Amino acid sequence: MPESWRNALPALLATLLGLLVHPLVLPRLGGLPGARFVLPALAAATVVSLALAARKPSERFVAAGAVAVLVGLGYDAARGQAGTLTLAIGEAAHLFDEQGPNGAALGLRPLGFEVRLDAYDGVTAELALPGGRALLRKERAVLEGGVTLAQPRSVHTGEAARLRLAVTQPEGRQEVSLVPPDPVRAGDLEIALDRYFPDFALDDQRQPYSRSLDPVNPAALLKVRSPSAVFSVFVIRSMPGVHIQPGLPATFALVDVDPLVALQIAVFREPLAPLCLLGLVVVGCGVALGIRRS
Amino acid sequence: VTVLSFASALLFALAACVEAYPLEGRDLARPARLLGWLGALAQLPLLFDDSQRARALACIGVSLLAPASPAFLLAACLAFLSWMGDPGPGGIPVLFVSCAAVAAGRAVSREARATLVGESGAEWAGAASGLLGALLVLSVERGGVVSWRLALGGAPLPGVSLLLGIAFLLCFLGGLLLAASALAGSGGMAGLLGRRALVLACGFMLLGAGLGTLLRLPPGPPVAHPLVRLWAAAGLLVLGVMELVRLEDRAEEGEGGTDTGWALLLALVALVAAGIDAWTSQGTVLGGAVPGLLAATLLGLGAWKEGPLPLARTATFVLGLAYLLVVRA
Repeated sequence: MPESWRNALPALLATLLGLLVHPLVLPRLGGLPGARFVLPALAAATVVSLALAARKPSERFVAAGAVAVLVGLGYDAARGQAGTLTLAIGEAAHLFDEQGPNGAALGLRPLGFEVRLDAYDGVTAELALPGGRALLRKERAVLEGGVTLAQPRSVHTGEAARLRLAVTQPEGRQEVSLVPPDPVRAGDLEIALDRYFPDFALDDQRQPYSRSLDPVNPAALLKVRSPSAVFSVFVIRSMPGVHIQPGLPATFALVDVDPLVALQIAVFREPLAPLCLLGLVVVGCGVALGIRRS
Repeated sequence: VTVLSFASALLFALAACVEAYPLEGRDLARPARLLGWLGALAQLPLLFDDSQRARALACIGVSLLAPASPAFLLAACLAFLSWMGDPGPGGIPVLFVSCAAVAAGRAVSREARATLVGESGAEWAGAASGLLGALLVLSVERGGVVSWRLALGGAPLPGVSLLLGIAFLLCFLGGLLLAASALAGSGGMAGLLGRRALVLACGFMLLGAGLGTLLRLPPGPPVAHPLVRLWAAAGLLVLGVMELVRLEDRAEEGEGGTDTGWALLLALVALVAAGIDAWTSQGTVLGGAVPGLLAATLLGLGAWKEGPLPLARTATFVLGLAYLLVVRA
């Protein structure tokens, strides 16, 4: 290869790679065939060209740092893990839902330790870890056993923590709170939750289902036990008293729902992240040396 | 702490300006170094303050080890941060990216001055820089200047918006006049007026940034980020435009290389800071501003290395940094 080409190649390859990995361009490349091979190949070619063109100590520093960054990013992309962990208060887990690069679910993966959520006030989550208690906040991640736990946020589980029901009987109207799975009494009636739909809808076969886990259009199927028989009663918040059961001297309305909230935590395992940062520092030293010499 | 940090920031900024613009060819490296030493001297008492020690050490180290314009600029920014207080999450990378953008802006202007042929070419470049300068002023707080209701950290600053609005109009007017002069044949009154309009625009931009800083003196809402971005826009405009309107001395090809190196070094520091920030807050080194900064740093590496089309590569680097300051802000 001519000397002029060998010197010019790193500049051209680095510029091309910089343009391709830019956040404005990279998402548009994802759908192109072979994109997942082109970028690593281009990154490797850039680093190799930097190493081949290195003549001065500053250039050798830059090349060595670039190799470290490439190895770190490549290893973490291939062998690193990312996913989410969902915990209710008091719940413990040692597995998390792993996700692929495009957010595709890859199944459950062991964390390597057990984590328990002791408390969560909407801002700070108190976690019990093998190394002791740790406070997890939105702006502060927790590192444990090579795994980083971060970005805590509340998510709806699709279940109800409490349903407020209005029961209208010949004696009058009363409101009761139903906390599943325990039944609640209203006069001589015993009410229990059979099924809950946070975002109620009917499918093509007129079968009920929930469109999402968020309590947008909550509805429930109740099991009502009267002294004479057991009835199934359907209640939906948007239509109070819609379902009247013959033989049951009461109507029911779903007044409100407290959705069951859990904490979702992002999980990352990037074992060579420190090597990436160290590589960048070495590249910086090379650039500083180059400036000093020039 | 406040007075010393502010005085130190002013001294470092003055040192950067003196080193960058020698008057009538006179070498002002020694006066610049002296100003830098005075700035470092003002930082010495801050070494005894636990919360300021790291920044003070960085200021003194940078100004003594590398007495060059971008280094003084970096020291001025660090002193400015000490004066402003906590920069908040992501504040440190924004500061370094701003410094890198200013250094890269100067590099691209020097490359342009070296590459351009004849006065007509320089006028076209001046026209382009005027129009780009207008866009740059427009980018401050996402076009707040045009609607005359510029607010930094939620507090309206009508006086500042007036100054920046005039800077915007002068940039636009200067760009148009230089383009008209280049079209009609160089050397006319339009070219002279265009250049003067651009210099005036720089003055109004600096006045606006200065007034904005004085009006937002602590105590008040934490506005370190918007102020840093405002100063970055002012620095980019001043260093970029002032280099291009100096037509009389043609720069040597590759003269912008050292500035590109400084800009790359600052971008690398910003990348490391953003990486640590993302790792400790978001759990992954590839979170937050890191993807954009990684792309900008690669563009900077491409601009720093020797090769064809140096002007285009340096301009791409500046655009990569400007994206981080304007779009991701």
